[in-house]
Amino acid sequence: MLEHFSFQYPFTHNPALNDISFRLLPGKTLGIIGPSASGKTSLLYAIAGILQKHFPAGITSGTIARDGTQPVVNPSEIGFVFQDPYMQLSGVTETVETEIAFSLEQLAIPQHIIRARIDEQISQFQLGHLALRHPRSLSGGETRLLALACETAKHPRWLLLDQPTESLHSEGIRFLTTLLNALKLTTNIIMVDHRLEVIAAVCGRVLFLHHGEQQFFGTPPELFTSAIDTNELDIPLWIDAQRQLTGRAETLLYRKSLRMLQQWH
Amino acid sequence: MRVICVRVKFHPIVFITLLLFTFAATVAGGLILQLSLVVVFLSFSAFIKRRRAFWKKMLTFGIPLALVLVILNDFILTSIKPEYMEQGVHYALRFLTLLTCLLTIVHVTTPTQFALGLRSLKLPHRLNHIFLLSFEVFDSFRTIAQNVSTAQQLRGFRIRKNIFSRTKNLFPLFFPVVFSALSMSLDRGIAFDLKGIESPVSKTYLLEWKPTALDKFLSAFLLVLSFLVIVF
Repeated sequence: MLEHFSFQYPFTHNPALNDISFRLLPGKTLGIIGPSASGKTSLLYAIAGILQKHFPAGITSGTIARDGTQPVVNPSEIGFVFQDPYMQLSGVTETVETEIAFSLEQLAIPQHIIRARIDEQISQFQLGHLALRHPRSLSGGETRLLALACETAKHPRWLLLDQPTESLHSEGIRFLTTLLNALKLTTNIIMVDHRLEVIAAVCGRVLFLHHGEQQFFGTPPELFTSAIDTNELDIPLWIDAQRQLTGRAETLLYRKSLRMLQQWH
Repeated sequence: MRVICVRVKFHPIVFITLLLFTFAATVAGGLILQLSLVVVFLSFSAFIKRRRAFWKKMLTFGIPLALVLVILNDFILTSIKPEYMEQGVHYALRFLTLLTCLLTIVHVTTPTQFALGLRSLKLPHRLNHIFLLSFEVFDSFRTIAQNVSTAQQLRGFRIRKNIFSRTKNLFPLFFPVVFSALSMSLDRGIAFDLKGIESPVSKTYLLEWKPTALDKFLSAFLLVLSFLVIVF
């Protein structure tokens, strides 16, 4: 829950986040969208507690709470997948299996549970053929899946994802969408992505940021029918075509599209 | 689940004591001992690499480096006189002995295996954290340097010619590479923090690599040798 939350990084003149207010109900997933440099990653950092810990000289105003308290970096509670998945590799493991184990080892999880979790993640993420490969030898898409597997292995309460579909091919995106829909049953997911079709398929709420300011907060169908300027967003082609043709969201086909979106989640 | 294959024959504790012995030899040992160590370490590295190019590279870098060190040491000793030359050679040799020892260690182990061995020594977590992150800094540095130099070469920047022009051409890239690597390391630090590396609880390890009897014997032998070098 955020109320008039603003944050300005040290040695900068403009706030990265300006007057953000929204409340996410338990069990709802949130998709954060917006053009580049609109504050999406900063907002994820704020929710994770990273801004408060690693940028203490930053200027903060308003309130931010996660599960009713001030957010702190709690690795057992938060799974965070960075935009660059290579950055997330520990660099000290030799196989995909031991890379998954690394985070669990830090949290002092007993060995037999670590082994069970590795098997679980490898099966869930279909990484069996890569299990004994060196993490640095994987492709971009495989590394992204590995980074996600490492974080979900912790069974976090909150899963924060920064552009998880980047560098994935269309089949990989479909696989990830199905996976996230399964994960959201047990985990609160907040994700940043440029692919609105993925956001619409996974998230119950969308937050649209522009230059650090909140432009919209609501459901995906509400976003597509709203009058806000979404020129800088990758609106799915079939919805955009309808908007271009009709100018208003009143045609039968458009209503059918909205029903499809609602059915997805 | 299969246990990873450990390629290194010796535990990092052996390498640590080897470094200690080399340090003792450079501080207390004579010219002959240091020269012998340099030759042994270089031969060992060459044997492992099994390449003639290794010797070529070592001579290309080693001889100018040794000369620079000798001259620099003379300069530090305020005046370049023949009586100071021996001292200059001695200082330069100290540096080269430690450098070749480190080179040998780098050739026979990997950061992963070194970290795996170190954590079995039950060192404080914070120390392990610093160790892991420092490797990450070098890794980031190497990755960025490669990317930047490839990009610059594609834009027509001539880097590979000979050692002198290469040094001159790489100089303008030095600061961007260093600052990018430091910035990337900050991000990696955040990623490590989110993995719970700073968590105060005692860790559990899926795989542990404990020193064998041979490792313990070699470490003890090198320790005794270091002591003897310092005393005699």
